[in-house]
Amino acid sequence: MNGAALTQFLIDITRGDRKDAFAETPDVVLASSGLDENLRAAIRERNIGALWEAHAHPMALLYFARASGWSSERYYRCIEGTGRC
Amino acid sequence: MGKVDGRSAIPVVASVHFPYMTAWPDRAAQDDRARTLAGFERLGQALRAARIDTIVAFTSEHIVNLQPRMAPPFVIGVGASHEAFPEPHFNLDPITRPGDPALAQHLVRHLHQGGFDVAHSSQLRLDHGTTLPLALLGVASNVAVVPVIINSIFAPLPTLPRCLALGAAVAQALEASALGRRVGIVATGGISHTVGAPGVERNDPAFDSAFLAALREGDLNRACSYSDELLDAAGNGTHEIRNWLAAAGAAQPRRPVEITAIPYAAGWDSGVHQLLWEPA
Repeated sequence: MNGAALTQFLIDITRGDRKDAFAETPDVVLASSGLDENLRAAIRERNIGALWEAHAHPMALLYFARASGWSSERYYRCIEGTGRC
Repeated sequence: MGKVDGRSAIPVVASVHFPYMTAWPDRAAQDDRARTLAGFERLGQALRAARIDTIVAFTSEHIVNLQPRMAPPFVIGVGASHEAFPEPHFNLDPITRPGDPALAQHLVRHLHQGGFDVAHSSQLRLDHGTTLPLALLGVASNVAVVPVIINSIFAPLPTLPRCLALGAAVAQALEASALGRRVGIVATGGISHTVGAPGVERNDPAFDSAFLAALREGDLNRACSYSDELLDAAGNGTHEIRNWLAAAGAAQPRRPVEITAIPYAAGWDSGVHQLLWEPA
């Protein structure tokens, strides 16, 4: 499955058992993720466009964007490639 | 009527479950809202008329139970109760529904004996895919629920013919039950729609019309003929038609009555469709 590890991590920090830990010490949680540095940076920076390109599952990515304070409108503008991320 | 003394006595209903209906009811036209609620009322009447004890729900969920690390094609909730996943943004009360462990365990065992190796879980949580239709159908809080979650999110997904066969196998298991439950079957899920990907603002009315026509005409081979690629093209949520196919499999050879057909409800960005397979 493309992006399965990324998707699982996004789920874990958005609605799973690493949600609280990620909120408190995101770098520690990211360091233990097994994701490469590019993906860690994209998550750290809430770079939704990069995560979309990395094949995060759309539903998991939407949840992550919402948890990061993004509106649905902003999220969809971003993934639709309008350059307004 | 509705007692499990024959599969044809079981009322079977199917409806979309998109959460805009409860999150933003006023975004849709008044006529669309009224027709949608009237449809739920009609389906709910069919269940109440059967004086059901338990609902078997063919349903999808949205990353509440299934995840990439564990995504069985089919999982049956065997718990004594099923908590609701909190979704206050959809204006849904987090009602905990009673389960029916005896019937659920019977289903699992019967399905296994018949070659259907479904998973089971004692701690499934229900999200809007189940809680929304149960609420709008007016299902009383003392009616038990046996959720049958069909993976429509994390590919590879169960094939459409397998979902149809699951429905038939569940109906056979209900018929073979000695528990004496009065059962209704509820299938919920979108027809064509998109979540989290480009195209969220539209459905594919031509796809919806063709798929539902196949169900109404009892042409279940045609209803199962779509590739996953074609379903993706109609919108990533379209994979939830698996739940409708399970319902059709459970109800066959009955054909459904179209209760609601709104090709596109502006403001809700989706079609509204509801079917009823009436008890014989």
